[in-house]
Amino acid sequence: MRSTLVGCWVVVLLVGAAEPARAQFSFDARRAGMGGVSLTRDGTLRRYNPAYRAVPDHRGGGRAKLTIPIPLGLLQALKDSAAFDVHASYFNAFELVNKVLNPPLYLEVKKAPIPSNDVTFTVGRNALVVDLGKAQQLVPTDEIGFGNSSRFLDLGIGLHGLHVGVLAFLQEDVGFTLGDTLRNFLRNADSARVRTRYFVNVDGKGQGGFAPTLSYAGRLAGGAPDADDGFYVGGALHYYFGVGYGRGTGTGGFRTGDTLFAGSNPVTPNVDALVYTSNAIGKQFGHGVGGDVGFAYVAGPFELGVGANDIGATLTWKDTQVRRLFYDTTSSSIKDSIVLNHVESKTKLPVSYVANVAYRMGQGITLGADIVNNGRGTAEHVGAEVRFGPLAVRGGVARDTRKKVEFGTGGGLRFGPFGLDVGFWTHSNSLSNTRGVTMGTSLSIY
Amino acid sequence: MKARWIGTGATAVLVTVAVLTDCGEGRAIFDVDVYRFLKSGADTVHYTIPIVGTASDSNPPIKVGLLGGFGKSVVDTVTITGGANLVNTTGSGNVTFRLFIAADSAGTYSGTPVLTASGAVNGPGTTAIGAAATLIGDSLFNNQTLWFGVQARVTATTPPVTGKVQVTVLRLRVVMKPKLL
Repeated sequence: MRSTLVGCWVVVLLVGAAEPARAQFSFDARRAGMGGVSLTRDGTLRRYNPAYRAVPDHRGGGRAKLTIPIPLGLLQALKDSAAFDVHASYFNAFELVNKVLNPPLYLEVKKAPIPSNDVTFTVGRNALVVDLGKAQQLVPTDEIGFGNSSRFLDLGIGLHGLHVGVLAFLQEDVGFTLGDTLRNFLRNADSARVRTRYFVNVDGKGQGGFAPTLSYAGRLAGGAPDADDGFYVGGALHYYFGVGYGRGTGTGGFRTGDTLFAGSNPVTPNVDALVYTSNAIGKQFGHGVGGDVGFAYVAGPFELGVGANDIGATLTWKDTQVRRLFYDTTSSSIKDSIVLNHVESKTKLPVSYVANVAYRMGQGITLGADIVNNGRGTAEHVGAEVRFGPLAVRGGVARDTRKKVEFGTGGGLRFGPFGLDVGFWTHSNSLSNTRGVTMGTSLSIY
Repeated sequence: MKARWIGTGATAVLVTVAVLTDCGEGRAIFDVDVYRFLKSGADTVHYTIPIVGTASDSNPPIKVGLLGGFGKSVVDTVTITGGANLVNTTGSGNVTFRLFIAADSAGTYSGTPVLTASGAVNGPGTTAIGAAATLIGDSLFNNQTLWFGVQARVTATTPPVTGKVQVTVLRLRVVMKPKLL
């Protein structure tokens, strides 16, 4: 049994315990100060709710033309960069990992404590116990994973609410689930056993392509032409052309031998996976149809919207190859064989949605809340802003995709077309079970 | 089951590399039950000394596999705890249990013993002995494989002295600051 194997598994698990940096990350300190909610009709709403393409910016609603983050965290990171010399005796990998999971654009005013306990390896001829101490709590019991779904290009022309264009999409996700034996080994300090398989279930998928799109967004009913009030609807129909996709599902790990440490071959790699790929990438497209729908209702100080993307987006790939990868103990190598070829397979794009509500109470008080699911978990945000002339005070609370409650508070000053904002928010992006606190600062031009 | 997500795949790769580098500010502690390895046939050394004088008997060294990848780690302390029974059959004298540790088989008994414990024997009987030793910063323990040799060194005063040294406990505790890159 090799430490690198143990280390790999530990790392994969610890990674999963970390909250997506992206989920809490915003360049806008105002948003950070309200727990992640946005009180303006910004890009997130227009991305997930097609009706918002027809809703004009709120007059005096404070949507900045440009928001520039003030990267105080980068200065801090540069100052501390010597700590990331992997060859230095004081190097701490957890610190580096936390910097990756929680990018140091903004200043970290309270770092989440990192696991610093001793790790004990108890070794016998047929025994290996790894006691991670307090770090055991970071070994997840659920599936862990990472992924992204994006529309990285959206081009087209519009006329009277109709929009014709093409968008490019890319989606990938990978999930890992620990086998029972490995989970007990790491989380419960259970002794490794002979003739036992330790493994991780892996399921990963990536697909991308483009989609000609016909969409409409407009106001069906409502107030005066120069007012925001009204009931807005939006919808889009996409015909997806999948350029390529790949998917792998299986298990990877090792099997212990008759003795753990005294034998000539204490562990044997164990890999068994099916890999699906589209043949003739770029020539034989996958095909599918899906759509976006949404509505927004604006009535004076009240605003409500709901939108969803990629509904029914199932792509059919006519020409798929299925291969099997497995570790052959006879030749001590991974064998690759074609199981099926030129067969049909289907993939789905995850449905993403947003629901938002805002209420402008007057006297400079604005309340807002939203629920966002970008296809990989739901996050809820509730926040408020109170303005006293040029001064703004903000606060909010959120529940992130790990179901952890986070808090935000902040304030800002606005002088004519310029605004300077600061926001503090808690996060669980680190390799720790304790929250950290980050201070975001940004300059906005209105 | 509910998935937990992080931003990008690149993140996972970086995390993997980084955490493999070390285990944070904590130490890695290896608690090795060497006796379990010796029990495969090397836990007993028989001795027979027919005349007055000093002689040694030893067993072939036993290989003990440890976790690999700690070659660049900084060894802090190594504590060796050993115990044995001197099971004497005839004669009298002094029997010393000596433990050798080396990186290879051939050189196991060429160095100095890392642990010694002795006791007097006089006729048939069993004498329990034990000892502990602490080594500081010994890079020998960065090796993934170590060879352990047990030797009985007997000084006979009333020959013939016959019997055996039977190891009852042998533990190794290595404390190091992990450094995998």
